[in-house]
Amino acid sequence: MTDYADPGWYVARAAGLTAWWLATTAVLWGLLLSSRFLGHRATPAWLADLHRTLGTLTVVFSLVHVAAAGLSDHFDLGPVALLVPFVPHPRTAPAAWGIVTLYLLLAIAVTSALRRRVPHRLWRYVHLTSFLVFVGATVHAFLAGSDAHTGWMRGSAVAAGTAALFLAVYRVAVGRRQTRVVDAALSAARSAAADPPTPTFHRLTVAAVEPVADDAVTVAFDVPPTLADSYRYLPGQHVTIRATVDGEELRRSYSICAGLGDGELRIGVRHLPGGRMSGFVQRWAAGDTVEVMTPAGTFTDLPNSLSRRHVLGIAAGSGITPVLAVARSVLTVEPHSRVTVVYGNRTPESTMFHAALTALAARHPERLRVVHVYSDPGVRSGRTDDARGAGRRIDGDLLRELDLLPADHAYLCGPAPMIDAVRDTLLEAGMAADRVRFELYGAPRTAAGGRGAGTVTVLADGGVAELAVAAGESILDAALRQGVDIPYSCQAGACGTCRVRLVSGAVSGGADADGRILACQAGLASRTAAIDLSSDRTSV
Amino acid sequence: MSPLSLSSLLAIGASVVLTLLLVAGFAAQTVAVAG
Repeated sequence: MTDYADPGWYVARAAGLTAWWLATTAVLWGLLLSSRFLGHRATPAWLADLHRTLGTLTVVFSLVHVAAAGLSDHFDLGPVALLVPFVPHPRTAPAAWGIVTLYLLLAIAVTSALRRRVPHRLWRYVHLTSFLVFVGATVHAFLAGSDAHTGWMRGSAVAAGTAALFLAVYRVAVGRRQTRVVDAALSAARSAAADPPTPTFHRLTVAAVEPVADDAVTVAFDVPPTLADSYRYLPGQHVTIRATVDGEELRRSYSICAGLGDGELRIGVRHLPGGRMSGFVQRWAAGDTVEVMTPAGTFTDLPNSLSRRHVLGIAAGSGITPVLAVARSVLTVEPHSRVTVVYGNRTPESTMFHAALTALAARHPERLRVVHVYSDPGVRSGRTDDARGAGRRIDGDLLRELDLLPADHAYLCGPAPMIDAVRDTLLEAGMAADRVRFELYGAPRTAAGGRGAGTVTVLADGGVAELAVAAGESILDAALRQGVDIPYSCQAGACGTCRVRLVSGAVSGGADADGRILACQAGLASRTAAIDLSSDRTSV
Repeated sequence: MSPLSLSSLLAIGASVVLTLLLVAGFAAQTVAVAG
C-alpha cells in the first residue's frame, strides 16, 4: 500500500538513484584517468579532483538513501534490517544487495581516506571492488527500486554497464602494456647506469613538438629499434643537440622530461630571449631530422619498485624538466614512495609543464604534492594550485614552512643562488650529502684564473693526441682549437657532458672524488697532464 | 586540504539539484496518480 504523504520514500528513491549515477560516473572517470584514455594530454586543473569528489558524494548520497529508507513508512524497516544483510523480512534479498554494496563502498572510502597509511596493495584490492559496487548497486536498484520498470532507468543501466565494461577491458589492456613498457625502461635504465652508452650523435626524426608554456615546447624523437640501446637513459639525464645555426655549429643540452614508462624520448626546451638554439628548436616540426647525442648526465635517479621513500624535487624555471622525469619515474615504478615538487616560477603562464604536473597529481593524489612558488607579486593563485603566495622565491625558510624536511632523496635543479640556499638547508636538516643531488641551470662560465700553460695527452679508443694548452685556456677550448674531439655541450660547467678522467697531472679546480674533471672548466695546474676519454667516453 | 576544483563544485551542485528535482518529480507523480 502506497503512502502518498511519505517524504522518506521520495528522498530514499531520489538519493538512491543519485548515488547510483554518482557511483557509475566515479567508476567511469577513474577508468578514464587511470587508463589515460584521454591521451597524454594533461587533465585541466578544473577537473583534477573530480574522481575523489564523485566518490565522496556517492557515500554521502548512499547514507542519505539508507537514512531516508529507515524513516519511510513505505519500507517499514528497522535499524537492524537496514544495516544487517540477510535479516528475514519481505525484501531480504533486494535489501541484502544494497547493504553489502554499502559496506564495500565504505571500505573503499576508508582505505582511500587513509591511503598514505595503509599498504598500497590493500588500497588497490579494495579499490578494485568498485566494480562490484557498481554491479551490486545496479542489482539492488532493479530488485528493490520502485522505478526499475521505467525505460530511462533501464537505459541508464545498459549505457553505464556498456561503458564500464569497455573501459575496464581497455584499462586491463593498457595496464599490461604499461607493465611491459615500464619493465623494459627500468631494465634499460639499470643498464645505462652500469654501462653508460658511448656519447655519439645520431640523426633522429622529430615525432612531435608540443607547447608546455607560453615560451616552451617539448620535442619527442622517434628512436628506431636499432638505436634503442644507445638511447637508454636514467631519469634526470639530458641529450645534447648539435645544429648549425647562422653558419655556426651550436651544441646545447636539454633534459629529458619523459619518465620511465612513458615509452618515448622527449625533451623540454624553453626559448630564451636571444637564444639561437632554443629559437631554432621552436621552429622544428614533426618529420624534421636533427642531430641528437646519446643521453648523458650524472643528475640521475634509479627507481626501485621495492623502495619506500619521500623524494623531494626542487626546481626553478626550466629546471623542472629533469625533476619531472625523476618524479614521473618514481611515481610509476615505486608504488610505496611519494614525491613533493616545489617549483618556482615568475607567473603561472610562464610555468613549464603546469598542466602536466596537475595531471600527474590527479593520477597520484596521495603520493604527489606540487607546491608552486611565484616570484611575481601580482600573481593570484588558481583554486587548485598549492601555491605559496606571490612575490616569493624558493629558500630554506619556505622548505621549513612546508614541513618537508628531511626527505629521503632531494633533486635540485635551477640557478646557483637557489641551489646554494636550499642545499645548505637540506644538509642542516640532517640529509646526507650524497642524497642531495643538484644540477645548475644557467651557470656562468667560471673565471680563467689559475689556468696555466702546458701539454695535455688525450687518450681515446682511437689513439693518443697531444694538446698544447695556453695560459688561461680550458682543456676543452684547447681541444676545439686544435681539432681534437672531446664530448661537450654547455661549455659552462653545468651539463657534465665533457666529464673525463684525469690520468695524471693536476688541473685548476682539481678532480672530483671519482678522479674526473670537467674539460670545459679545467685548465692546467701542472706543466703536463693526461686525460682518458676511453674509459667511459669516446670522441664524437 | 586543497580547495575544491570547479568540476567538483559543479558535481556537488548538480547532484543536490538532481536529487531535489527527483523528489519533487516523485511527489508530483504520486499526487497525479492519486488524483
